[in-house]
Amino acid sequence: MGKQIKPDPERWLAEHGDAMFRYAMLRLRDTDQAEDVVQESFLAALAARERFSGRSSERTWLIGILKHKIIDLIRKRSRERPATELGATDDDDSAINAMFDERGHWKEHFAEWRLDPHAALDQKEFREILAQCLDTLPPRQAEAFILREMEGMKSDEVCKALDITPTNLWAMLHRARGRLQLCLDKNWFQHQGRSKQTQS
Amino acid sequence: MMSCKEAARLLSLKRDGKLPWYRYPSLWLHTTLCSWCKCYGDRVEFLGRLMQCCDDASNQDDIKLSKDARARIHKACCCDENKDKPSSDDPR
Repeated sequence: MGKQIKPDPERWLAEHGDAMFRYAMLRLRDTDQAEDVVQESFLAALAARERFSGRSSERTWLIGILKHKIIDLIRKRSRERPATELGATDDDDSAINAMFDERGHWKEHFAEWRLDPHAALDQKEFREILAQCLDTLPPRQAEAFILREMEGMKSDEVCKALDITPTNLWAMLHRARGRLQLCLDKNWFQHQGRSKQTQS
Repeated sequence: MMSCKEAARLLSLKRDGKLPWYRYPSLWLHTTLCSWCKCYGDRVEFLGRLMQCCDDASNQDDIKLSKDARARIHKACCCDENKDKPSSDDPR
């Protein structure tokens, strides 16, 4: 039989509030929206407490609810975004085009990133630069990239959430990856290379 | 041989598992011969793995709910919880 948990919002807040807020901030990058979505999740958890079976940890259960709330919010945000905000920046290929010459060859030759993702993320400065780079993406590109890569959602689920076609999604993801790798290279990896050269 | 621009696009499709099977040989050949496209492909994979590790890493950040937000959430949850409880004046 399932384990009945005692709904204790004060304990939930104390034990899971900050972790849930960090989870939401990472995906929404907006303090007010992250706080709201955490509140909604706690309320939803209170309403659904009878359905908590105890098979997963309380944190996993709460994060599961939060995840759905975040996807709902991204879906709502995407639908409510003015049409003028959608066109130019999302479809802008200039950052990608600028990397290639007229024959479609790389203009600049770049270096290999010799760093493990875990090792990179262990550095606070890197996490800050990654957040800044994500902020430079047009909102829908960032949302598509986060849902696909961070949430691990399938393409059709992302398309449904953002109300876009698969062709649109793949183009957005390609642009997001191109921009992000350029941004990280310029703001982190090139500096690291230079500082290593200075040290040696 | 395909251009590097096309190879970059296909590398992104490959990451999403949407690269048609018949494009694999030409992309493989291109990235075998072109070290920069190979490097770009590695960067695309790196970005994917990076995003998957973000949750663990964010635990190191000092990002916390503000006191105001905490109080607001607490109040909302308590009000919501008390909604279900019959009050002493409740005729039921």
